[in-house]
Amino acid sequence: MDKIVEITGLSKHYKGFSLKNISFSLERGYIMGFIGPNGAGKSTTIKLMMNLVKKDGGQIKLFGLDHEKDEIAVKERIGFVYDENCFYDELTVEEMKNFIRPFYRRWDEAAFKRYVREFGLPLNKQIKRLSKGMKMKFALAAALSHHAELLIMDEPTSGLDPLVRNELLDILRTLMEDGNTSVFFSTHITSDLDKIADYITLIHEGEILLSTTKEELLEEYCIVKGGKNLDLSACRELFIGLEESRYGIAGLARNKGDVIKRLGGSAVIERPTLEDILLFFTSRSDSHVSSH
Amino acid sequence: MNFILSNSANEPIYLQIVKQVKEQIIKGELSEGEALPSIRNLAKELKISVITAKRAYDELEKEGFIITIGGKGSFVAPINKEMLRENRIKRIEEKLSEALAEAKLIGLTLEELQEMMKLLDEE
Amino acid sequence: MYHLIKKDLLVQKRALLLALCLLVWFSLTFSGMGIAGLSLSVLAVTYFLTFGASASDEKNRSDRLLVSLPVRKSLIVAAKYVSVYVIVALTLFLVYFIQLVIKFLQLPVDVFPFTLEGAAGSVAASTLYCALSFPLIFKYGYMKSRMVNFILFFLTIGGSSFFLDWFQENAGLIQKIKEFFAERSDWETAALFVTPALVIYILSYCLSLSFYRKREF
Repeated sequence: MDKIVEITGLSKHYKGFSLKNISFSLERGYIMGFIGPNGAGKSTTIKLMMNLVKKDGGQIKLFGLDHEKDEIAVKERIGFVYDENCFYDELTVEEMKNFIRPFYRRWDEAAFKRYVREFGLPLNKQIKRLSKGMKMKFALAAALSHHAELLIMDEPTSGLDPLVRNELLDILRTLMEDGNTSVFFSTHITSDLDKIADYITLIHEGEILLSTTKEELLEEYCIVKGGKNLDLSACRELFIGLEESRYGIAGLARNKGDVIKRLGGSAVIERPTLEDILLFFTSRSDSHVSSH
Repeated sequence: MNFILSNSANEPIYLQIVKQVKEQIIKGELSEGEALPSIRNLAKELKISVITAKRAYDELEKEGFIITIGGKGSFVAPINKEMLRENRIKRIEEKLSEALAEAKLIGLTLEELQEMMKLLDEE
Repeated sequence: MYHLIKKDLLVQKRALLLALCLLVWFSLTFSGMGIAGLSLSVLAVTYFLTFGASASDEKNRSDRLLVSLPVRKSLIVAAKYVSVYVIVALTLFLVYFIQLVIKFLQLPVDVFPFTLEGAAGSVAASTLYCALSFPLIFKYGYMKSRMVNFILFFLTIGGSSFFLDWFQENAGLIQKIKEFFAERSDWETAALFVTPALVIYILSYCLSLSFYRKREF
């Protein structure tokens, strides 16, 4: 088992917010979607992994190495894409690339040129003149041009149109084909992960609520829809959340097998989307059930 | 190989793949010994998770429809006519059980059901 | 390190041009100040360019980028300290060049003398000023320490002119000091000046590094 990411008991305390006992792991060759509402602790977790902030407790192992002691060796193998532009606006794409390049021992200029062609990156344009989508593509090109084994992406698609988001997913799919790279993708736009993620980790208010394969998640849980008089007394405890509207009720329940047994034909039982999982688990009062 | 996957169907994706591969093998659209795409390639092309693709292949292998040779990939297993027949019989049994259950719900007797079958056969 | 310093200059292309103009302006207006003219001009432009780079880092939030790259924090901080001397050297060169042009065009302008003492003064003043203000920047970031750094800048200038005045008033002491140095070889003289400056600079570096290591991005 080649664990690329192994986090145990991670904790970090701020004045109004704490990350508590964060644990999850990711093997080589898979994509993990890190989902949660805004402010749940996604960015903090990523900053801790990249050693941008100091942890208060717990352990972070990347590629089997300690993320602090072997910081440089670890960062050599990580490609990162952050949501906010952290590149120098005044420099051109080419100048920015030339700045980053010498820091990576395994920089692959041919790979970068390929991405430039594929993405249509204008080498001589200043970074500040690039569209948001282009900035992300540049970050991605740089992240993928040094044989990184782990790609960490912190809300890379926020503010981007569906076309660009789809392009990103296609690029990730091609990347995953050789089974060598792992991707850790944090987002609150769950539709991006609905198709591509292998694993899902849900974080809310600083705690991990679940971490499992997307397969298991979408099979274990189900959306139950019924009329207002639906009798749930037999399986109330299986419900994560319930929402009532004028015309009926809908909820997320686990143990789909049990639910079907107990409710049978009196309710409609459907597969949830990741958005349903996110909404019901984080108990938004205005949650709704998305339909396919 | 052709795949039509539906997200809105309640059937898990991996099962849809298993069914469609089985059909293509049974129909002869996939021939014995033919190489199947790698799990990762399938995942990429169908835009599904690698784990889902792996599960589909594992299931197909368990049911004896494909063989995976480590390092080389997956191939269509020699078509076992016996096994195919068994499969078909199993499906027919499932469908008949369904029909029986429905019949019981509305109080149809076994004789009435058998009459129905005769009529349908004559059509 | 080369790339870090190069980046500091590249991000300020417009500022470099402005720096050149500033130097021309200083060359024309500081002519009456003697040696101090050179030191002051160099200090001002060094301040302008060094902190311009820090401002750019902060505006672009590129500390996050730097810390995410496989590069040691010790190198990031060291590059900043070394870049000061690169900028001082660049500025001295530009001043020399400007004066050459003035001479060549035979413009009717007086220029302040370009002497070794003046250059040494520039280096000393810049070293002192950066040694004091860099730890603040590494601890609090550029924006938060802007005001304090500004005050420090004027203190340095004020302090330097006070120092110079004091020197002139205590001519006797100056004489004794001059005799003292005359007896020393050039190497010893240089060492006596450079060593304390280096010590201060290195202490400042250590402080900055420990601040930067503890900082959260």
